[in-house]
Amino acid sequence: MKRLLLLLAAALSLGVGAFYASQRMAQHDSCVMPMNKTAEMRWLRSEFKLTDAQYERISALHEQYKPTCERLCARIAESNEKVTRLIQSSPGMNPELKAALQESADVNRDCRQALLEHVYTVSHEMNSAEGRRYIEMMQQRIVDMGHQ
Amino acid sequence: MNPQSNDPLDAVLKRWQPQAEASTRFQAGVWQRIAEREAASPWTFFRQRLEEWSALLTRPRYATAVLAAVVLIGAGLAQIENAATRESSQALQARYLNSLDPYSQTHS
Repeated sequence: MKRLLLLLAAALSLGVGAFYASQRMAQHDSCVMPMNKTAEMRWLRSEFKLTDAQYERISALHEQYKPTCERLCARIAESNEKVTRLIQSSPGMNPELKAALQESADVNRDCRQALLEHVYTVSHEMNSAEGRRYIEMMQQRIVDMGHQ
Repeated sequence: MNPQSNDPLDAVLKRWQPQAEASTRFQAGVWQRIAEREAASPWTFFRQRLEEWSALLTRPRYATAVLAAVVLIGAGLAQIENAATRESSQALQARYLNSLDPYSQTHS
């Protein structure tokens, strides 16, 4: 009976050890996250192996970008509404509709430009390799912006 | 037995009276064994099975197999949990991208 208990204790230890070893191998870069940030920012920290200082600066940049993003969002909504209204009310293409479409394209360009500037600024705060990987992750979203 | 038989053994058998006496402890012994059987609880049964399994599993061959199985189960569970975490990571990536994209916020 004593030998069985020893076997069970050894089995339990090995099982738990195997679980944590396997988990650690798969998530070797995991780190403790401060809980006062949003989940996506904590994900960014883990994904791009940010130091505390990098994380603080990038979080600040993220907060600075938010008002720009909200302003652009309002412009998109306004532009889309205008284009929709003019399409419904116009029998054909007219200068006003052309101008509305141009305004929509301008908003799209401004959104891409603002995001690209933010992405470059954030990438400069990261380590060189991680910064390049960050730009690669973001580039498709910038290219596809407004077409999804 | 033939009624007309003159076998002398017949007379001997007629006179024979068995004089066997049961032991005075016989009855007490029977009752003691009954009491022991009744006292055999499920725990006793379980304990006996446990000892049998103990004898079997602590053989080196079976013990090695048990330990190997436990290691595989532990590693397998970790893989399952990691897969769930990876899915969650993709969702968080999408949330991050959406948090920067004014168009995705227009749709939400």
